[in-house]
Amino acid sequence: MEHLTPEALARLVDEPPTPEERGHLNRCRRCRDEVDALQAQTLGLSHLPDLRPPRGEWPLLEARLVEEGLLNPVALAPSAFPSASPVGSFTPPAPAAPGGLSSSPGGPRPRTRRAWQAAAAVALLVTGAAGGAGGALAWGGDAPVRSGDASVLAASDDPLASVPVALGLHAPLRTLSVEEAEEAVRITESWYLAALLRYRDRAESGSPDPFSRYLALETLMAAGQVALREAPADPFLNGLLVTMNAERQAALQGIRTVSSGDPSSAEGGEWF
Amino acid sequence: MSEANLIEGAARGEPRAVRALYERYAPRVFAVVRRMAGDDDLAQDWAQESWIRIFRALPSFRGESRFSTWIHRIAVNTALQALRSAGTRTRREGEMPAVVAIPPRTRDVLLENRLESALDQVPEGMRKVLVLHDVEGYTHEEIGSLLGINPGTSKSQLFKGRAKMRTLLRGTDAADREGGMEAWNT
Repeated sequence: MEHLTPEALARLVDEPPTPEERGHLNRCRRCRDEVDALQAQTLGLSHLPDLRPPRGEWPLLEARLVEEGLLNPVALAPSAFPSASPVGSFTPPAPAAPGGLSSSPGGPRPRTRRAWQAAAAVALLVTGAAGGAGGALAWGGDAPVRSGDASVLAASDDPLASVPVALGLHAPLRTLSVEEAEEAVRITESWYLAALLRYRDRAESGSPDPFSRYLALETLMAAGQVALREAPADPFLNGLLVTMNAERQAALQGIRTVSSGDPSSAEGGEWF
Repeated sequence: MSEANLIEGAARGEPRAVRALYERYAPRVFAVVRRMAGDDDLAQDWAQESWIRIFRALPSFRGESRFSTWIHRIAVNTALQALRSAGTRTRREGEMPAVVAIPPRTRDVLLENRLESALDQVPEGMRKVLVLHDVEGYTHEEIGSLLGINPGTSKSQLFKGRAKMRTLLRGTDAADREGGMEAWNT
């Protein structure tokens, strides 16, 4: 007995059989079973759920949206930080509003952050406070410190113990709730990036060619993204990617400034 | 905040609105481009491109269709355009897909994974019609219009795609049975 072709069987999911096909189906259990299986397959496909995008998608998209001018500069973008503002005037972004997102247009870090991000912030803060960037990131003086808390940080041997005070929190860092840790992430990330930008403003430029630097940072970003796909929850990789992205944005801004031929914004020939 | 307010805010580049719209529709966009791509890396690129196009076109959204439909259409067009362009056909035949996180909305995750895996292995020409018709619910007329083919060709590709899926799933069934028997016999 000659069976119905696979394509004919697939058609019978949507369309009625011809008289010949009906006659065959009445006699052939195997073809009937195949039609049933194809119907189940089609039903299964129509009920497939939506798919969660990979974790790293938003930061990459966010950076690109900023680049394209489709998103007002946010915390990750250098322009959101007060590198040109008066010394000591930096105020961390306002606390996030209820409902999940920051109320500050300058610091729209979402509150839907995860524990790894809290860990990343701590790592970033410790790096900065413990003499990152060659000691230029002191937490007093020119650094972006809120309401005179710098001495607390400077005086402490344990940076983790000092962090809550600097952040205006009322509990030791190790006992913070998830929400408090999220807030700490947002603020420390902003401070770290602002401090990094200020450091770059003040440091001697070691790279005379912004294009090469940008390309090098692109390569680093690509490698970082690959690494992050392998270990999306790794706080070190996440922190590194945040920093690299800020550098990359700044490099791009430098290129734009030079390309536009605006000597005032090039700051005496320095790229950044 | 209402969707209309979010759209208005996102069109002005307000970060909260942009992020909120993304959070709301990212799984929908990613699902359609992932299934059209049949590959994780391509899907990520296409999803990002879709979102850039969505936010770029947002000021022109007039509310003539539902926002979700509008977004979905942009994602589909982005994927189809990418499929048409050279250099996207780099996926190796028979390559197994990476695991994609699936929200536990339906219970038969095993079946869903098998369907997703089989879908990834259906040749591109059939797969795009199969995804558009059987997964996304487009009609043959709509598919014909999207792909620049006539509805008859769309039907033909669909039936071939379904048959190919069936073969792939039958292979999985057989492998499962063999594996089960082996496990049973050892």
